Amino acid sequence: MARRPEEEYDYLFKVVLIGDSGVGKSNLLSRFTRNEFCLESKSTIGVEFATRTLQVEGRTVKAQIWDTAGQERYRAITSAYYRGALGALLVYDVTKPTTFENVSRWLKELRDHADSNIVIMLIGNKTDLKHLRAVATEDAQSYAEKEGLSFIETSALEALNVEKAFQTILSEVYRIISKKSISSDQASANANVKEGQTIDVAASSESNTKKPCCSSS
Amino acid sequence: MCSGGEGNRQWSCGKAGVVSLQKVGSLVRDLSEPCLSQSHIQVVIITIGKMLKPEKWQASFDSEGRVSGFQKALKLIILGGIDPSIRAEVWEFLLGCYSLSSTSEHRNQLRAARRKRYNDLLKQCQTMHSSVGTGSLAYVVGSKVMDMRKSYRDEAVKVATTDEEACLDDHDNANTESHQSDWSNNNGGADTSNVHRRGSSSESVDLASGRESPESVVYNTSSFVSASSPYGFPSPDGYFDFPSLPVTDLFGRNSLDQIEVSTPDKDASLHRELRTANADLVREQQRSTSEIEELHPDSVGGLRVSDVASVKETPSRVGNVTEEGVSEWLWTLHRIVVDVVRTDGHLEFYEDPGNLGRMSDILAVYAWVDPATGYCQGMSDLVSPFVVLFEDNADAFWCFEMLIRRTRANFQMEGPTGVMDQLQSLWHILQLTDKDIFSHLTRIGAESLHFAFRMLLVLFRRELSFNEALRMWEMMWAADYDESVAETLENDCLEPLVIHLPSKSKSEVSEETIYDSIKREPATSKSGPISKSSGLLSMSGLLPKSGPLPKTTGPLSEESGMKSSSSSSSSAYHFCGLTRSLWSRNDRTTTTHAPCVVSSIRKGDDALPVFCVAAILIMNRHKIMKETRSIDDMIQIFNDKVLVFSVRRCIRTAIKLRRRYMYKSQVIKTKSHTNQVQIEHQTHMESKKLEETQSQRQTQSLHHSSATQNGD
Repeated sequence: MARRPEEEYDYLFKVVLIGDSGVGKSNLLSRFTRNEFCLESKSTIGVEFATRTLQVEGRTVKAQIWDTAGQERYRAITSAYYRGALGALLVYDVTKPTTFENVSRWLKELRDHADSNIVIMLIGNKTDLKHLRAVATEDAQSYAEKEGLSFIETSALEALNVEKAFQTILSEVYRIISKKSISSDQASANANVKEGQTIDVAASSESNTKKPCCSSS
Repeated sequence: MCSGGEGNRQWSCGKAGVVSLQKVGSLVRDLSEPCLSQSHIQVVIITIGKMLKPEKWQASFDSEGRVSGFQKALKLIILGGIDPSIRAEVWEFLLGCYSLSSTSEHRNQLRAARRKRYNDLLKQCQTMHSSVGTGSLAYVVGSKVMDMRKSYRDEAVKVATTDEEACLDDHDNANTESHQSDWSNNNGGADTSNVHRRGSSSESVDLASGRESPESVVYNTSSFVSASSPYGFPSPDGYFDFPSLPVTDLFGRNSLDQIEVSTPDKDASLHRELRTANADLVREQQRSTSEIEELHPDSVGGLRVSDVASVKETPSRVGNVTEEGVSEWLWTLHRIVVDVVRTDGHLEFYEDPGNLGRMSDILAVYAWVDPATGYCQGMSDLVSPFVVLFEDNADAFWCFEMLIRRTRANFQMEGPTGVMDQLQSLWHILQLTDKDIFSHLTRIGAESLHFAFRMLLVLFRRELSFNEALRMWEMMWAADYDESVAETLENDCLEPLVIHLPSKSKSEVSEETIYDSIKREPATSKSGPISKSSGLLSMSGLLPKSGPLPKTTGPLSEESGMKSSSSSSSSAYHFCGLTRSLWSRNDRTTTTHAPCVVSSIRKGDDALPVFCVAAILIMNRHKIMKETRSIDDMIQIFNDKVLVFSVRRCIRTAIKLRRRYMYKSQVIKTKSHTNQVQIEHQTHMESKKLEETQSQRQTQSLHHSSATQNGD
């Protein structure tokens, strides 16, 4: 199979999508990586991921986005995938206050299992359901400030702010990584991150499997 | 009675035409099933002759309706599945809902009793949430509970604030409702027919039971209050016994010993959470009752925490348990609905909201009778085929329940321990049976085998089209069928599901009442069924582990004992349930008198699904070895469904693998247990056969790899 241009990259950043079940994690992922919104998106069982290569701060970054099951009892498995993640998108549903209230639980989860330097972004999804909004932007905004998270509201359905959300978190990750690599004696950012395998400087992969639409269904 | 071939029911997948279950031959059906063309996994259409056809099936009953030629039927199923027109009927036997030796008369009685029981249970659930059983989906109440529960769990400090918020937030009801609407909107975005089907947020009343408007809130929650005891157990206060809580009714029933709400055998902390969650629920009830009061001022005395407390005192077994049970269940109901609306949405069958309601009901009833398991993601994938196949929800429920008996360990509160064990088994299997794959996976650091997680949890539902997954299921069940295990499984019965047939029909003592068989334990079940099963097995050369293998029980179950050391446990039969008792009989003795059966499945190294996964890996060996350089790549190729496998070949390979694996692990065992002379002798005898199989397999796998590359 011929190599695709997207397999050449400067950095590989691993980012996890977390949040309650049904908030739209999988659709954010498919919107970002394939520009698709799946009508029949099923619940995620275990973990899945997709990648997209894009330009971040002038560098080619391969973003590897991990999608996880939302239900609590799968957390033992899904949290294994926090390891090595440089960024986390913590998603709630702006129409469901419960999912917003659970954000604090997810934060704790991250702090327990993820790298302490992980960049966390709070995402209020489903803004297209304007008439059903139940979590005020300001509330989420101030919560995010309090917790030191970046924050954005998105609609995977309308493709609103999805790109921006990912761009923002990837840029933040990049800034942290490049800062580290400057402050370090080593030239390679790779060595500065705990989990070396997540950042492959100038690495290239031969895994070029095609990414089809959402599912076989 | 058996709803097996509901000729008038139609369903199809995707956008193409509707297919009649009965009238169209299976081949035609396969060809025309649109899912096939959408699937990324190529599937071989099974030759028409090699499957269990109606004529063959009907011929295997004696004059009284006992199944006599089941071995032959099993062979055919293993070769190519079941003709869809008789699928439902055969599944009931494969899953062990009915024993082979039962007469049709007996089955009819049992079916009637089960339907009645199911409907009783449904009505109980209805008293907790009026949407249940109406064909519409419940919403909301559960999500409030979830809120509180979660915030209490980790954030004791925040309790007060969230509490307040929840109580003060008037919009909350409508808001938490929105998930449903969201889906409708999403669908509407690209497909107008879906909009029509699911309704826009404001129209989705029938589907989401319309919690958006205050009126509908009243409608739904009124069930809390207006619940009489419509299920034939007259409540002490008569029919319109306001203000008695549904809770009262429920607990009243408990004293009849019919329903036992067993405490989830969880840690005390969970109980605490539930109690606090329940407090919130009660608060919500209060609110809704006051709404009701506005409408029916004279009807309601209102619902206070204190009322609940007093309810507690009345019947003996009420206590916190059930209160918690109710709130936990309501919370679960919300979870169920969230997943139901996104399960098999591509099937035209589910464009009818009523069918989504059926799916939700079955899951809700299950969660109610098995609070220790409740609802777990993945279950909706497993229940959906039963909803499609069975016209009667009760029949679908009992089949689903039998499947969950075998898979319960996958859905535990503490995590999918069953699957994790199976992944471990898979690792051993690969180690013993395919050095190439094993060393490759080791090299790329894929020891966790998490890429196989989904396959094992929802039994290939996500990897295969709907129809092919069903075929795979029945082939696996047939390959694992063991009557004695099916019988044993009856002992695993959840207390509320125990059925006592009023009059014993003459001949069938064996499966008569589940209750009886519990009592019979352990005396009979140990010796009886096993001798039966070894006879059964040796009859069929096709069945894996036939011949001398039954004798291997000793070491193998010892092994399982070792592996599952953590559990004092109970039987080790596995998933397809129907797995040999041969491997598990030593463990079976302790089976469950406990009110709540926490699963018996501890270790999955003889369950066919695990071998199927191994077979898929082996069948795709070249692609995997060429294209994967990390576990990530492995996960990706499974997510993207680029692997190719045919169900039939997968099953065939899996059966052979299992034989090989059993042989090899036995050899290892034998080495370490030199005193087991007898077994050694047997393995020796068997080794020839197995060598044949191996060489066969090798040539075949060569063939596979080239064939699969070409799309088989």
